[in-house]
Amino acid sequence: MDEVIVYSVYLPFLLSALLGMLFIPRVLILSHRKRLFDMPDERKTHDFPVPRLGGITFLPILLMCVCLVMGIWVNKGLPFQSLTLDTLVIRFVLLFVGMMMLYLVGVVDDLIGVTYQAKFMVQIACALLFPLSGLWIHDLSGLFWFNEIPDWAGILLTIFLVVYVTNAINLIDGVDGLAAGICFVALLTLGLAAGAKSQHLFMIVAFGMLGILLPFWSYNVFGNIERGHKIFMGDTGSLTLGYLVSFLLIYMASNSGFSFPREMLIIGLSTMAIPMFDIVRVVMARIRNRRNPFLPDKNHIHHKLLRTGIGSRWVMLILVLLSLCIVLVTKWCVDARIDTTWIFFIDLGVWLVFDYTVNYFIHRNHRLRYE
Amino acid sequence: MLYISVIVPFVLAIVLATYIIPRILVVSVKKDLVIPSETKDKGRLRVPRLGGVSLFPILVISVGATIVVLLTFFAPSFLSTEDQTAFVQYMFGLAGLTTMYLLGVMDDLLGVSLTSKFLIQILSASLIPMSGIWLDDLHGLLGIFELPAWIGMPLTVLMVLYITNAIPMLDDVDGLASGLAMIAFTFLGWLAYQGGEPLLMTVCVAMTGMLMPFFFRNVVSGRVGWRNIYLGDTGGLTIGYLLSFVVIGFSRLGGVTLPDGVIMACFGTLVIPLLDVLRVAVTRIINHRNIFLRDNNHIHHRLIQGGMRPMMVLFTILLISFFFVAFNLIGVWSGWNLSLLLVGDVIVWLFIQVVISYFKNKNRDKISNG
Repeated sequence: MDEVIVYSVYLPFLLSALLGMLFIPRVLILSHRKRLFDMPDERKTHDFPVPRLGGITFLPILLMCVCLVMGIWVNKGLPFQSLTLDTLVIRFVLLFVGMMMLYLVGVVDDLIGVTYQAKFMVQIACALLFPLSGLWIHDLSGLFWFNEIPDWAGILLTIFLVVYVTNAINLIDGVDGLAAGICFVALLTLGLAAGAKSQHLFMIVAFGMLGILLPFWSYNVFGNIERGHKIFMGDTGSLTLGYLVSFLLIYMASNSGFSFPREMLIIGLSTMAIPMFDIVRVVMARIRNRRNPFLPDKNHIHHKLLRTGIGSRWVMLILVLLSLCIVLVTKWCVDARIDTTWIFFIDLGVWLVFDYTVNYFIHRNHRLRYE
Repeated sequence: MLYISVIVPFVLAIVLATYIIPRILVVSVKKDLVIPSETKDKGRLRVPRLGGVSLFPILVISVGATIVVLLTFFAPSFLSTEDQTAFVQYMFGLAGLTTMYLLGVMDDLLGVSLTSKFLIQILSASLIPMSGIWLDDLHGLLGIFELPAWIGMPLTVLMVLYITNAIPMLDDVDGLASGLAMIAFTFLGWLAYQGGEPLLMTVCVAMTGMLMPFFFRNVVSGRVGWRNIYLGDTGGLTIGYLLSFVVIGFSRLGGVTLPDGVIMACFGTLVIPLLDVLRVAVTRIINHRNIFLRDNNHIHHRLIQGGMRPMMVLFTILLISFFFVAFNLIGVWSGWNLSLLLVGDVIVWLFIQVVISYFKNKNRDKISNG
């Protein structure tokens, strides 16, 4: 087997999966013993107290895994594609500095709650880290017929995208396994795309995160609530995951990601299509109803799907499959050499069709119930 | 560039620690994470022991930000001359530090069994020699010069374990752990500057900076009525691992940019905890007691039994520590025989112990005589 593949895919994946399997049960015991629960309230979809500290495992495990693998990598003298050690260090360090800031905010939020203003401030500060290190969107590769964009626009767009993706994942995290599942699809796609282009750091980070998501996902979805085996990722998890995904996306669109083919960006963005489109719909609905767009309600896509009368596990499955479907459609369109902007509209179309189908089933469910 | 790599981490660490400490207090009081009273000495308030939880994140943020600033605006050759080894060393060190951090958090909140604690500590300690850096030369300490790898590597692991387990015991007196660690890191930071290791210097400066608010709060809280906070096992493990990481990083520089036997100069910063742990362990073995159970026989306990107030204990120990640092520094820099220096350290330390014992007995007699 190719040594490079072993060290950039299998090793990080297995290492972080192993660490996750060791660490997540400990977090469960810890939260139950110290009663660090998420108390059930009106908006949530569960009845038993469930710990929501699953996300605190993500950053330390990813850090350990990436550090070890990169150390082994350099130790064995394997090549880093077109990157000097300095560039590598700068990217890597920034990613973890930002993640650590979000991690701290997330832990405090999971334990005692933080106002959304404070959360936004930290998110913007973390988003600023990317342009400060020279990592911003240089090229939209044909999306909305933009190619090269000026620096100021790219920097603003970068900050916007980071905050957008981070919040999108935070908000989609309402059904067991949904955020983790969508991120699983996203990271797998991005990791495979990087693999095709031998971006090794990218692959280590992506597959390391995949490795943690696997044990977490199984505890999240199949854990028995009454026996205390269920765990949520909480804000810590969704913020760090969102930041990681947005880092990978921006890396693809930046100057240093030139070795990525230009169509790759739209595939990357399409992995986040569901949460990103959904957040726009929700905010528009809130503004239409003259409510604060930042306050939570029960109008997200998973809430709507639950209202059609199906179980929460089916909601998760349907949405993850839809995400996979959108990615595959995008991939197919890219292969067919369709213009990037049209691909975007095709994705939007797929999503709109899905949304209207859901609306139809909600109405039918209501009719059935009241007749 | 020098100013940047000192000022940025220092200020950042102080600001972050000052900002985070009250938040930890709020979280631990609201979620009832203060430690249960039976594991504590009598007569002390229930104080949260989660202060150490903030050390590792602050370290990552402040050192990371400094590295990025330096690499972006200054020479790209910020990593030391042998890029590859140093890179691997830092990566493995960071992984080991994360492991220690997780272990410490678990230990502070739940308690970890001794076996698994030692196992995890050995694992993360062995990451340091695995990255290619171990004690390969003692420069004549105890008559030993070059060490073969099969001795040097286990010796390094042993040293990391020793230092890591010696630090948490200092946590029993307000400000002692943070104060001693501050002295150690300040001194090591200066050594790093002398030795031309900007990254290690940044780490040391950041640690000094973030420990300052802790020290300040520990010292002041009793008078002003602030809530106190301890570093806990997380803090002890993090500080211990970092100290040994930095020291082993220096051992490579002995005879290159720093004088021979720089490791003895580093030893000066840790004389008190290291020798005290040894003394306590020996006493416990002589008395046929379990070496790992806590008792009241450490140097600060003895000083308190000798009639000192805790604040006096703190400053006495810090003064002794200063003395040892200066003594070893002078010794190493003027090229004394390292073995004699070690013997000198031990003699001075034994003398201090005799003095403490004298005052302790006198105080006991005074109390028993009424």
